Amino acid sequence: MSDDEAFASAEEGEEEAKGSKEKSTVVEEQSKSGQAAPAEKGGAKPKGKQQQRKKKGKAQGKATAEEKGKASQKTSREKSSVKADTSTVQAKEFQPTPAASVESQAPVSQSSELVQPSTKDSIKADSVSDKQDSKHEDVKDISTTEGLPDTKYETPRGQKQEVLTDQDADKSVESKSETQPDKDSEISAKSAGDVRQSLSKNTTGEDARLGNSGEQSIPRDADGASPNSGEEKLAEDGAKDEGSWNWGWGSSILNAATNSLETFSSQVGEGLTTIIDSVESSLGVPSPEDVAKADSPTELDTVPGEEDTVTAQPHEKEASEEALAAKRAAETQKGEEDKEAEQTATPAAQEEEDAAKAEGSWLSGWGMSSISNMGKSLVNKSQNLMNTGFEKAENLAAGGLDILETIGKKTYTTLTEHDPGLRRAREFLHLRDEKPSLSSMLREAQEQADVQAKRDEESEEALKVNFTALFEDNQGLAHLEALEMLSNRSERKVQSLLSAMEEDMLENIRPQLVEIKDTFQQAFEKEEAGEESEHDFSKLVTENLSELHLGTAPDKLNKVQENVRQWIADFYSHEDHSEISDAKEVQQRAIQSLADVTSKAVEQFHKAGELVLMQKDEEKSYTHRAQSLAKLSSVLVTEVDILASKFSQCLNKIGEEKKTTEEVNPMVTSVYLEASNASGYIQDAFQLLLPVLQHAAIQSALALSL
Amino acid sequence: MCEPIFEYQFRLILIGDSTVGKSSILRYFTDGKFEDACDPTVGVDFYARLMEVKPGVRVKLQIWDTAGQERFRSITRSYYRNSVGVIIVYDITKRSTFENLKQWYEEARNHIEPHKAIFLVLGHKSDKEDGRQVTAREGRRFAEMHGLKFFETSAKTGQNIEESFSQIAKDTYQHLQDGHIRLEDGWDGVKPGFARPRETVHLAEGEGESGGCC
Repeated sequence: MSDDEAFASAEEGEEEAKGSKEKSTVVEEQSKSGQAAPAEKGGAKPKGKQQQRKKKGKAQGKATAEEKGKASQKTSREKSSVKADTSTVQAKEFQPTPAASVESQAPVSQSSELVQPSTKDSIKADSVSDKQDSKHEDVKDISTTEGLPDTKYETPRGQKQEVLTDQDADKSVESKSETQPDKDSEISAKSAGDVRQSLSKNTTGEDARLGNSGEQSIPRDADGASPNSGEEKLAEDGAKDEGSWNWGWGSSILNAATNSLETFSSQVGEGLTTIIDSVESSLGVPSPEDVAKADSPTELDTVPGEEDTVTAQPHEKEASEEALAAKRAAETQKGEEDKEAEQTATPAAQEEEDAAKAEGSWLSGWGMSSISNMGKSLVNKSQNLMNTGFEKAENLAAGGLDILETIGKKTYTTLTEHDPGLRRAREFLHLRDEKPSLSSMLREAQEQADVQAKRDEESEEALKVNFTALFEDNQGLAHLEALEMLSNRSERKVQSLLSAMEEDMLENIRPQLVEIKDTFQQAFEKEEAGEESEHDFSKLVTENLSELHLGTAPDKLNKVQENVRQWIADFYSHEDHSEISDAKEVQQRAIQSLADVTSKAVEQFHKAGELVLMQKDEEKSYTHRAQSLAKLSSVLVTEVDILASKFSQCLNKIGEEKKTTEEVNPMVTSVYLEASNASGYIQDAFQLLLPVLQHAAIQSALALSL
Repeated sequence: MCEPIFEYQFRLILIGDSTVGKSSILRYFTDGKFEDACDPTVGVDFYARLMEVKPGVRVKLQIWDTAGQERFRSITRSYYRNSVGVIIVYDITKRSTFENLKQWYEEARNHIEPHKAIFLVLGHKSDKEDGRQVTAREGRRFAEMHGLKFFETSAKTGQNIEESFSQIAKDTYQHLQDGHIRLEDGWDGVKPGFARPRETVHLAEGEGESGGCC
């Protein structure tokens, strides 16, 4: 149905051309006002629309007007694009909210005819009713936009378009001139009507009116003085000349496309609004309409007439979409579905006209002179449309921000308060981050200290029965190490001396070296068969040491041995052994004694080694000294064994008396174990003397040979 | 004689002319006793004591007391290499011992070469002020000339004995911390202290009374 109307309007090609003029003015206004919302759609489409607009505007007439229009469009585009880039703040104003999209789409529709018909088709959907449109009419911007002076936006693009449009204009001029050579105002009015159609359904709705009441109404409107009158005039001139070349061939397509686009835009708008509504309602956000109303009450008050027109126009859009539904909608403000349309169309148109008149008067009050009321009214309407669109956009944007904010808050609260899992997770994380309380730390420290103390105590006790530790304490280990160093040094010396020795000398000394070596190797083979019978330790030791002719007395060794023996004797002399000491003490004493004896034995070997190397005493052969040392070591080992046996007997006695055999047995074992350890150290020390003796033997042999 | 835990063992060697009092110093240092007369050292003797080089850090000083007699020189030389610190002692009442300082110092340096040893010079028998033949200033100047630390000590009064060993222990520890000295295999100048013996064999659980072992 709207299509029909559109067709009708399309037929009025010249008129359309004129209408395009209006468009151009509108666009200019938009650009002036700086609300480039339509262009925001961005991409090629807006351009196309604008271009079309421009074309139309150009076609309408004067290059200047066209230029302005184009330029403004371009600028508006540019602005819009720029703004689009800078998001949020500008987005408020220019976000492609439903309203904005509607508007922009409307112009697009024209361009899209040329450029992107397919999109239109696709876009085409069933648009139901645009409630919003009727709701949001805020005329705020109108005043501002109107008041704004035209700035000149000359961009290269604009020129391009100019060229194109100029051609169009030339062609269109003819047709226009034919049909409407007369009045500029008429032309403008007509063109305005066309514009409406082409621009958007809003306009088409009016076009329908125009088609019906058409030219009649135009003159009425002409009374009003439009702010853009100057431009219009210019445009009008051009418009006359311009034929609707493009309109002619493309009108039907254009209309169809327009319709589709309109439907699309309205649909989109609706869809968006419904979505937003639903979101808002669910979130409890005030509806954009309310917001918009809240924002604009003053303006509404000040410009009631315009309001009316504005309200009417959105309905017209709808009407155009759905045929004449708009008119009704104008009345009800929710003119959704009417298929009766045509009948109601007239009232709507009349309303519009009235509104236009009111506007005109209002505008005239602004001090604008009247050129063509019609044109003005149309302009106003279109402006209103745009403005409403913009405001809607703004409001929606603002509302959108509010919504976003609210959504954010809701989300946060939901997440934080209504998600037990999250809370748990958070608590868990917090717990992990949390440091243990002071009390727990102290407790841990206390426990650690206890454990440490216990361990220390244990280790201390362990050290008391640790033969190696005790051996080291008594410097036995140091002496062993020193002896090892001495031994290694002697061994190196022996090697170097032997290698440097002459053959005969080597032959002379070899038997002695072998003899010494044999003595050392056989020393303990004998001993192992040796009995553990009691022996006179100090006598044997002293004897053997004196055999070494080293001038050293085994004082330390003998003293230590005596002490040990004394202790054991004391132990046996007591009737009640357990009164003197318990098993553990005996064990400690035993191991301590073994360590002492061993340390002193090793020290004795060490000293012997040092002295053997230094003394040039040749009274005793080194073989003999080796034998003495072997005997000494065997005495020492025997003594260690005897001591171990005696201590074990002590332990066993205690075990028997106290009935703690199980407890004592491991102690006895440990004593025997450490005794074998001690024997090992003694034998090692003894073996370390072999190179030392060899070294000494060679030295003395060399000394003799010299 | 229970062995407390220590972090490192530093092996120090005491050198100097015979009868300057090396063994007396060590005896005082380890036992706190002083004996007027003592036998000359045969070869080398060993003393050990724990020292705290900084709060909570104890080191074991194993001190090799060498025989100062000339006849043991060849043997004592072989002990230099495994020492991290060298204490050179002279007798302030015997000028010749001071004059031999340089010889001792160079011998020690020559034998310790690959490792940077920490040196300390002690002018001993400082209690015998009457018989002083070497002034403290001379001793200090010698030490400073060679970049060494210097103390005048007395085993009789205990003067500076503790301080001397504490000084060399701390210096050694500092060198160790600074990386000038490192633990090395085959070098016993510094050895890691042995941690608590893990071979603890619980052969018996008594009441933990301390036997007369220590």
